[in-house]
Formats: sequence, structure tokens, C-alpha cells
Amino acid sequence: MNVLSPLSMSLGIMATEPAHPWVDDVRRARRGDGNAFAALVKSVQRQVYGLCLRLLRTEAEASEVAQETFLRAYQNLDRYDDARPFDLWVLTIARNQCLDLLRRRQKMKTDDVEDHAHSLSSGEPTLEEGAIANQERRSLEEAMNTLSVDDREVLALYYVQKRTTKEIAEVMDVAPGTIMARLFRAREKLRNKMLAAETKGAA
Amino acid sequence: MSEPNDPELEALLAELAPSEAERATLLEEHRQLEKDLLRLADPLPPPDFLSLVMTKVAEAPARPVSRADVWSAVAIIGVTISLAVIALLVSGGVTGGFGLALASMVVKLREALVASESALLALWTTAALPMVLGLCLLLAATLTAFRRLVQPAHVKVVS
Repeated sequence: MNVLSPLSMSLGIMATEPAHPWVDDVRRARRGDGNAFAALVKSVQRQVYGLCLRLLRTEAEASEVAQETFLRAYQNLDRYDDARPFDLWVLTIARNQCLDLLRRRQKMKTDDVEDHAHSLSSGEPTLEEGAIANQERRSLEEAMNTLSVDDREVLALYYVQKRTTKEIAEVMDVAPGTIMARLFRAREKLRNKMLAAETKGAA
Repeated sequence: MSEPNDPELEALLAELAPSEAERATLLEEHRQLEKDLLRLADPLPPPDFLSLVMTKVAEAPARPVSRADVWSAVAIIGVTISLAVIALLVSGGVTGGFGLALASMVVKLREALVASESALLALWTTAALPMVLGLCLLLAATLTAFRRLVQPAHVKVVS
């Protein structure tokens, strides 16, 4: 309940409860409440950092861009539409930041041939570790890392972050109908990479 | 999970696996791959990530005033002025009294200014040195106070 509730009740107006869990924190953060913004960061930091890491492939850059993403989110909190999921809004900012950096990187023609095999190994030990063999997971991550940014992005959002195609379409600013086809294409490329790696390993 | 039922996917499948058998194998391989992919999880950000974000937020310049804030301020000022004007008009006869009070205040203010000017002149002719010293002390104290105000404050990190 908010502070206006007694007034609303006396006027016979039904107090509207926040429809989404982040609404209250967003309101308080807009008024300058640092703890409310910290709560918002905590709720989405893993997804944002995860997406940045999948797109940029280096921990230092992913951390830097994710921090910048939250700073942008804070500075533009007044522009945020409460009806839209907060996590999707922040993910969209993160995606744009990553793509900007990748574009700049490409422009500068920096050497992109790095060994990123270690970059995604910093996750906390979860049940997945038991379910899927470490080696298998690593080879899957490595194969994913060789895909293009678009493919990595759609796979990460759909399979790792378990987003719906509608949500992914919103983040990527494309028609929802194209997401399934993109997923299929990305998966097919991943399958081919895995097959090639297996063949290479066997030889 | 992703059974082809749209034209784009159908076209892709037809291109990759023309025969029924090939298609079944391909879809099965995709299903297996999906199972593995669904087991992946996002890694945790560095332990100091939140404090780094909050430090950046604390150091960032203040957020620009939003359009909504500007409109609320304009509305509040507008309503206040309107109410004041309405109150003045409703009180009727008081309008004249208000004008008289205002004129009297201006006259008194002018008298006070003239008096303080004479007082300063008298002080200057009788005790110029103590006055100069006093003014210097006042200036020094003001400058010190300003300097303290300008010094950067420590950044408060909310964790």
C-alpha cells in the first residue's frame, strides 16, 4: 500500500496495487532512493551481465558495459514506461550498449581472435553442473562463442534466460514471427560447429 | 520445442533436409541440442558489481528534470497564483487596504535605507580603522565559509 491509500479509501477510490514487482522500486528510485535502485540492479544484474558476456565475450568488458547500462537506466528512469517489464527495458539498453561497443571494436579493427574459452566459466556451481558434464558444457559454450553476435544473442535470450519469443522480439526490436526462424538458424549453425569440433576431436 | 509450422521454417527445413528421414534426424538432433542449451545458465557478475554500479550512480551528475516534474511545478504555481487572485478579489474592500500597506512598506524601506546610509557615514567619520578591520574580518570569514562549502563531499555508496 502506498501513502495515498487512506486518502484514496476516504474518497472511495480503489488503491491500485503495483501490477509488477518492480513498479514500487522504480517509483522510489525516481525520487532518489538509492536503496530502491540497488534493489532493481540486484534483481536483473545477472541477466544483464550474462547477456553482455555472451555478446562481448570478455568479463572485463561485460562488467564495464553492464555497469554503464545500469547508469544509463538510472539517468533515464523518468523515460521508462512502467507498463513495460523493467528487466526487458534494461536488457534492451544493455543490448544497444553491447552492439555500440562491438561496432566501435569492428571500426577500430582490433584483433578479435582471442581465446575466450575461460570467459564463461565463472558461473556459480548450479544443478546444471551435475546434469551436464563440464566438458560437454564447455564445448557447447565454445561453439556458441564462435557464432555471430545475432546468433549468440537469440540463443542466450531464449535458452539461457528462458525468454519468450515475444520478449526477445521486443529486446531485439524485430517482429516476433522472425524469432523462431532465427533460433532455428542459430541452432543449426551451432549443431554444425559442434559436429565439426567432434570430428576434429576424433581425428 | 520448435516444430516447424511457419513458412520460413518450412523453407529452411526443406533446404536442409529434403527427405522425411533426413528431416526426422535433423529435428531429433535439434531437440537434443535444445536440451543441452536449456541447461546453461548465466554466470554471476563479479562480487563487487553492485557497489561499482552504485558508485557510478552516486558520481553521475544529477538527473535532468523530467517534463512531468516541470508540468507539476507549473500546475502548482498556477493553482497557487489563481487561488491568491481569487482570494484577493473575493475579499473586495481589502484590495484598497492591501495597496496602502504596500505603499507604506515601500516608504518605510526607503527611510530605513537613508537612515542606514547616514549611520554608516557617521561611523566612517568617527571610527574608520575599526570599521575597515571589521569589514576585513567579515570578508575573511565569508571566504572561509565558501571554501568549506566548495570542497568535494565524500561519495556515499549505497550497498
